[in-house]
Amino acid sequence: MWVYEKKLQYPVNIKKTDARAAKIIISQYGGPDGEAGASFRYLSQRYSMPDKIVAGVLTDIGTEELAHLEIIGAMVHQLTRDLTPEEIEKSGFAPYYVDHTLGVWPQAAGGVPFNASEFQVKGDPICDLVEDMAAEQKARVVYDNLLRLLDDPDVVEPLKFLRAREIVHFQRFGESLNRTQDKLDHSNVYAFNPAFRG
Amino acid sequence: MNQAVTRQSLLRQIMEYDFAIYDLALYLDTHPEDSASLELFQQLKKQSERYTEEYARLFGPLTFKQVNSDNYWTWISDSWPWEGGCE
Repeated sequence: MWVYEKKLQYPVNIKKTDARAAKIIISQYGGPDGEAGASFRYLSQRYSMPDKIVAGVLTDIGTEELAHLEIIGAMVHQLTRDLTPEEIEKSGFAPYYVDHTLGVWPQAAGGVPFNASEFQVKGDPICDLVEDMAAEQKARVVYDNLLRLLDDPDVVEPLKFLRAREIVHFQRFGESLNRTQDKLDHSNVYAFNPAFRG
Repeated sequence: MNQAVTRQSLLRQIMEYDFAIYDLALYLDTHPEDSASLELFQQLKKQSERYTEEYARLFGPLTFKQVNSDNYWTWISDSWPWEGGCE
C-alpha cells in the first residue's frame, strides 16, 4: 500500500504567472507520454512480472512517477493560480478555463484527455520492458521540447530534474531487460513470453 | 516480543493497526480538535511503530527506508504483496 508524504520530490516555487507555459507543461500531467500514464503503466505491469527484482523496479519507479505527477500538478497550479480574465483571453487559455476554471485536469497539450490507450500492459516481460524503455525516452523528448520553449528558471529547474529522472529510469529498465533476457530458458531463443505457460 | 511470533501474525497485526490509524486520520482530517481521537491516534501509532520495527528486524523491510543490511539490498529479497506473500 501507499502512504502520502507532505513534500515534493523537487521544489516548485514559481513566482510568474504564465498560462502559455501551463498549457504545454500539462501534457506531462495527462498527455501521451505523461507521468500519469507512466505510473499506471509500471504499477499495472508488476503483476505479471515473474522476476521479483524487476517487479521491485516497477514498484519503485511507478511510485516515483506519482511524485512526478505531483510536481507537474504543482507547476500547472502555480503558473495559473493568479490568472486574470484578460490574461486568460490573451494567452489562449480560455478553452481550458471554460471547462476546468483553474483546476488541474489530466490532458495533453493539444487538449486530448488522459487515456489508458496511451500505454500497454502486455503481460509479456520482454515486451513490457521494451515499452518501458521507449516510454522513458518519449518522456525525455517531451522535456527536451518543453525546455526549448521555456526560459523562466523557476520553471526550467524542475523540468531539468524530471528530464534527468527519465534517463535514470531508462537505465534501470535496461538493466531489468538484460536480467530478464539472461534468465530466459536456454532453449527459448525466440524469447517467447516467460510469464505465460501456454 | 515472543520470538515464536510468526511473520503472518505480526504482519496481520500491523495491517490492523495501520488500517485503524488510517481510518482515524480521515476522521481527524475533518475533526482536528477531537481530543479523544487524538489520544487514540497517539496510542495506536506507538503500537504500530513497535510492531513495524519488530517486523523489520525479524522478517525484513516494509518500506525501503527500513533496510538495515550493509551487505545486501533486502528490499527485493521477499515476495511482493500481490503474490500472496504478505497474508
